Amino acid sequence: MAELANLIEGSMAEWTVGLPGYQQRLMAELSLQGVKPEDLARVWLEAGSNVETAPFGGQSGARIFYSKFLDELHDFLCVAERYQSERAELASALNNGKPGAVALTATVLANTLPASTAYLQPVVAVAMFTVATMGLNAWCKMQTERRAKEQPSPQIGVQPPQ
Amino acid sequence: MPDPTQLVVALGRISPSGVDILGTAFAVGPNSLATAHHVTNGDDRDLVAIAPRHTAIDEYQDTSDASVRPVQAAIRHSDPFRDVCVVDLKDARLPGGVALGSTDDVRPGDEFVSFGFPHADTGRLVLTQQRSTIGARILLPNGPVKSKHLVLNIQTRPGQSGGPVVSMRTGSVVAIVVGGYVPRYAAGQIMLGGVDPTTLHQTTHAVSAEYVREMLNG
Repeated sequence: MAELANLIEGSMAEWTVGLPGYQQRLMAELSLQGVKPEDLARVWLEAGSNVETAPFGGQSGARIFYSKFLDELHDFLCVAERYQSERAELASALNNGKPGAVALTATVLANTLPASTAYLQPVVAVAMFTVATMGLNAWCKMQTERRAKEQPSPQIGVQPPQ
Repeated sequence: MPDPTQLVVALGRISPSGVDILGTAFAVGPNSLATAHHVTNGDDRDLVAIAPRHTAIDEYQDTSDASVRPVQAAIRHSDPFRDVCVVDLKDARLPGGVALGSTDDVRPGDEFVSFGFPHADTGRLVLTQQRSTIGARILLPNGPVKSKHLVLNIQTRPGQSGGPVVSMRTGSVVAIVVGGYVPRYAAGQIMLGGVDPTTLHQTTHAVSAEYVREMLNG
């Protein structure tokens, strides 16, 4: 983890340079409209249908909640028991440049979340910038505390399942 | 110019009951399709394209034939704000891609023709051609991002999202069907037999195809 902490650094431009041009332009548009860097990932995941349009796809799909994305990213970057080999790959990828690390992370998370790598890449890129800004250790601690708070409290008088 | 049956296909997802039809897509390259982002929802697990079952749009389509030949597909580009998506086919080739234009190329009153699979949410798989006129050019917001759209003077139904809107004047795809107008206060409030009655009208929204062109151009 110490090695990863040293490798996850850099500017927004460095983390997003590998994204396709249309995604970089969208990021720029969102920033122009006042979306802060730490909110970009959430805003991207929460993008729904256009206002006043009932989408005419054949089925409605599952939404990825931002908290679920953060949970998986937290597991990937911070939780010792999971993703050990993938974290080693991430360290190797980071030594070769951030675009590859973004693609790898998106691919790993796409195996768990109901989303494609292409859809997750911009979300991962801006989320990794947020991690880099805060520092990996501080970000991991913050997410651990968030998840602990979001756990439902046991109810007094309710028997746990046997 | 290949027949529309060879350029416009249905997208689906493998499920325990077979293949659930998600919407419409059209060829933008030898092995690439464009559709609306919400058709795939950014998720390409078990995503397939349905190989054409006919060679010409004027053939009789057998509605009792439920057999399909799925072709594996993967998302290459996905934009949830503009609601457009590009999907690559594995081990399949299309006869070519359509010319992509923009809503800038057409005006209210211009004629268009569109293709899609209406009522695909009920399992119906009939490639249907519609023709009408453009009613307006509008900007629609999706969060902080506004995108160019057309108002089409036509009724569309679930399954038609992702369908191409072809300008009769230019011959290019200028927009992609994304859904029907619904007042903000009324969306999903009432359902009758699985149908939202507030969407039963002739006001369809279609997003500019230029956003797909931007995706493909890098």
